[in-house]
Amino acid sequence: MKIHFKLSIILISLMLIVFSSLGEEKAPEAKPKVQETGFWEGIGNLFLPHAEKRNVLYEKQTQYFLVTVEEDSKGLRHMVFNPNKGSQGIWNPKMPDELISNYCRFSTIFLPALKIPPKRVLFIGLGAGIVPRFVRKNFPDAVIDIVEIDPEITIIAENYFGFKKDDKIKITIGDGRDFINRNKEKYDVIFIDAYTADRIPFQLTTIEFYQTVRDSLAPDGIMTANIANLGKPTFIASEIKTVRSVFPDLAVFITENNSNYIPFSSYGRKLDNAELKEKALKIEAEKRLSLNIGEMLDTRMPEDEIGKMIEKVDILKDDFAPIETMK
Amino acid sequence: MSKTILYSIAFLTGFAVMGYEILGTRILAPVYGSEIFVWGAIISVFLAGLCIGYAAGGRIADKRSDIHILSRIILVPSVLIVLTPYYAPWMCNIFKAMNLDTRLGALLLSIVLFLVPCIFMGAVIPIIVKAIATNIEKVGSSAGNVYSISTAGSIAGTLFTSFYLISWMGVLKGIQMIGIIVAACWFLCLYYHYRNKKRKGQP
Repeated sequence: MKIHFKLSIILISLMLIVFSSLGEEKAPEAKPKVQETGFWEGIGNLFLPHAEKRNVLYEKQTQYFLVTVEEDSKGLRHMVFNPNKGSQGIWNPKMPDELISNYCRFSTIFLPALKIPPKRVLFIGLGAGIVPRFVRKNFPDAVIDIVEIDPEITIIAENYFGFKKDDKIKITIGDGRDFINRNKEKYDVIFIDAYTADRIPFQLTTIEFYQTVRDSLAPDGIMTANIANLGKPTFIASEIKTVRSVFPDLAVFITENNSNYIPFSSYGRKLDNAELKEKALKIEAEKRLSLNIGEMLDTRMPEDEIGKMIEKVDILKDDFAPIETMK
Repeated sequence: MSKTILYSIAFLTGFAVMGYEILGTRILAPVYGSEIFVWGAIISVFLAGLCIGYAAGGRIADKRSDIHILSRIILVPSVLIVLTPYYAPWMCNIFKAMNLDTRLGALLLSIVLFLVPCIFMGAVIPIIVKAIATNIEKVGSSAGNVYSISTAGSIAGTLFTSFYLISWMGVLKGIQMIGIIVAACWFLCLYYHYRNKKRKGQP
C-alpha cells in the first residue's frame, strides 16, 4: 500500500515536470522557411499553375487558432488562422500604409461620415492591426482601445505586421462582449471585426450585443462591422437584420466579388451617399489619400434589396442564435 | 424491472448533467464571452458539483437507498433546472453590474447557477449503485454498469444538446427541456413507488 502511494506520487510529479517543460517552448525566430509541399499537393500544383507558393515566416498554435504568417510571391504578408482559411490581414512591408484587403479598404468609409475628428475609437478584434494603424496615422490624437481575445495575435501583429503600440493605444485581452458589457466610455467610432471562418462567437452577433454597442457610441458615433462572406447567406441576412433592428438607418456596403458585407451606421443619422461622396473627395484631398472612397460608396445596397434579403430570416438573440447550423 | 428503472434514471441524469453544461456555456457567454476561462470555469464547477455529490450521495446511500430518498434528491435539480430560465437572466444582470474580473466572475456565476443542481445529480449515482448492488460479490460490475450507463447518457446529452437542441429550441427553452428530463426521473421514481405499493397490497 505504502509503496503504491509513493509510486503514484513519483509518477504524478514526473508528469508535472514533463508538462511544465512543455510550456517553456520559446518562440521561433523570424527565419523564412519554405512551406513544405506534400506529395498530393505537389501533384495538385502541377495542374494549378496559379497555386501560389508562400513562405511561412512564423507559425504558432495559440489558445484559439493555428496562426501562420505567410509571405506571397509579391512580398505581401498574410495573417492566416488555421491553414487554407483565407487571410485575416494583408500587409505590404514595403508600403506599410497601403490598405490591401477588401475589408481594410472599406473600413475607411468612416472618414466621410465623421462629423468631428474622432477622440476615442474602439476595435473589437485586432487581426493584423492594419486599420488601427490607419486610424493612428490619420488621427494622431485619437485614443484607440483594442479588444482582442487571443494574446498571441497582438504579439504577431507587432512582430510581423508593423503594428505599433503607443501610450494612447490600450489593448485589452478578452472577449469583445465582456469588454463592452463593462465599458463606460463613449466612442466616436467602433469597428467590429471579430468573425473568422472557424469561429463566429455567437455572443458578438446578437441583438443584445449590438444594443450594448449602440449604448457605447458617442452622439453621431459610427459603428461599422465586417461580415466575411463564407457561403452562409442565411447567417449574413440574419446578422444584417439583427444590426438593422438596432441601427434602423443601417447602410450595407458590399466589397468586390461579394467577399465581405460591411454594415455601417451613424446612430440616429441617415447617411446620404451623395453627401458622403462629396465629403470623401474633400477629406481624401486634405489627408493626401487615394482610397477612392467614392467607388466604395457606390456598392451600397439599395434599401429595397436589403428589405428583400432580410425578409425571411430571424433576428439573432442571446437566447436563440443558431449560427452554426445556418446555411 | 426495478433495475431497468434505476438504470434509466442513471442514464437520464447523465444526459441532463452534460446537456445542462453545454447550455450553461451559452448562458455565460453573453456576460463574460467565450474565452477559454469561461469554459474552464463551467467545466470545473460542474465537476466540483459531481465531486461533492458523489461523496455526499455515498454517505446517504449507506443510511438508506430506497426509492423515497432517490425521488427526493432528484426533485431538487428538476425544480432548479426548470426554474433556471427565470432566475438566470436576472442573475446574469447582477453579475454584469458587479464588474468582477472575468475569471472570478465566470467562476462565481457558474457556482451560483450550476453547483447545487450538479451536487444533487451527482448524489443520485451512489444511491443507485447501492440499490442495484444487492450482491456484494458483484458490486464491481454493478458500480461499473451504473457509471457506464450514466456516462453513455452524458454522451447522448452532449451530442443531442450541441447538435440539435440549441439550434432547435434556443438556450432558455433548451434548459427547460433538460429540467423536464430530470423531472421525468422523478416521475419514474413515483411510478416505481406506487407500482410496488400495489404489489405489496396484493395478497
